[in-house]
Amino acid sequence: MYSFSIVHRMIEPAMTGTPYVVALVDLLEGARIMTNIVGCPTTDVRVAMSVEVQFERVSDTIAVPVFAPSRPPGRPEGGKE
Amino acid sequence: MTDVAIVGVGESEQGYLPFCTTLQLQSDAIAAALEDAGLEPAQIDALFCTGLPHYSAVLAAEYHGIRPRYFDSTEGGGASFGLFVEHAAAAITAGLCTTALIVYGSTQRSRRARSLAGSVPDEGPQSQFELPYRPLLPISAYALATQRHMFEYGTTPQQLAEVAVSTRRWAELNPNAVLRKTLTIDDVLQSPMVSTPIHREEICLVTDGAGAVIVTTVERGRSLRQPPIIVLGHGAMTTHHAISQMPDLTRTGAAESGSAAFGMAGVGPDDIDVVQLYDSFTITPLICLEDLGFCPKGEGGAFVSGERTAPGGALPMNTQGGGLAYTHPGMFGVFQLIEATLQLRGDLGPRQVIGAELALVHSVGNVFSVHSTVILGRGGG
Repeated sequence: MYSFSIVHRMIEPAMTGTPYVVALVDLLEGARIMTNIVGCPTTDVRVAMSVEVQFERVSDTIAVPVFAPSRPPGRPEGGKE
Repeated sequence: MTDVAIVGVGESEQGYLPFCTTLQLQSDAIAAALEDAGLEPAQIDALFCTGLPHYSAVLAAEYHGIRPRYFDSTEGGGASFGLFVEHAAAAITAGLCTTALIVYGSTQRSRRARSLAGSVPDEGPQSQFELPYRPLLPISAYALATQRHMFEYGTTPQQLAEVAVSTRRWAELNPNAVLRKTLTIDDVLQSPMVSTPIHREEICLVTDGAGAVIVTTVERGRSLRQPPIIVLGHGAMTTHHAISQMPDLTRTGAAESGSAAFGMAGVGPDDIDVVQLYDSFTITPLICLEDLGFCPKGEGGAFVSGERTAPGGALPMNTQGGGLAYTHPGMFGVFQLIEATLQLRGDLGPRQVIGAELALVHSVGNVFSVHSTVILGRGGG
């Protein structure tokens, strides 16, 4: 987690979903990308925390990469759920 | 380079002006600047304009009845106007023009044209790789930089609030400022959170208004109405377009544009009497103070504490009340040049920085993307 911001204001009054977290994360592969942080309360998000990718399906053909706090060590990675 | 100077400045009314078009407001500002300089429209042979929807300088030339042989619509956001000074100096030196008019106006307040989503072109990587995540633009971009600066250097919300408080103290001295009510650090920190860690009172205004600046040779300026305010140095830099591509969120192109301007002027930060530093958000001038060399990297928060930049402080900054409290019709750079010029003329009443000889204007466009620095000096002698 390179940096983040918790958005409290709606872009449009009709939109829902605040607060949500906009973040910049550094990928192990070298790129820095914008994303949303999911899977934890917004108040738990910290700079430098470790996060991992999930794919949020928004349509039959589009999935958006978002990130959640990394699972604690010891749990199997890539398990089928 | 030929020595050039700012010889005329003018502004329209600022604030909420629902019965004017952008071009009408530009007209008011141009008329004021021509009157200030003692020039006629026919004596303008270069026009610099940005922020109109299409063909900015060409449309402005038509509307204002100017036939420029040199014109420039460079899109550098709030930093465009320092770029225009630099381009005008180069064009005058190259013999392409003699007398340049720089103008900007907007009616974004009364048109309610400012969306929290920002205005991102459909084409380009930002719409594909950032917009799906719903950042408020530009607010969340500056919020990301603020958060990172806090993480790396321990900058506090109180220190950031100091910027808004000191700027408001200057606005209290400016009868034309949109916001003049006294502001405290607590007021800032208790204002609603918009995009953490940025509170509402740390965000610049959205207003209507226009400003104009006239640049010509120092030699020509000496025969005009006002003492010429000399352009001693300038520099520019762009490091990225979208915030996710900014190489380091706590180091900006101000380092390069500032060092170029200081080098050309042959002066350093300690020589500067008054600064106009872009204040789109409280983090903006705080980081630029570091990158311009007014304090070491990471110490911007401590530097602005204790109202150092307020009236009576060691470094007068944003003396008309800045974009935070004076006006901010989308782009503020032209107003920074105007205020620096007026400070160096030395007749600004209660907000005059006594004996100001050297001023620095630093402007920022988009999301820390574009930087321009201009150093101005009183003619002397």
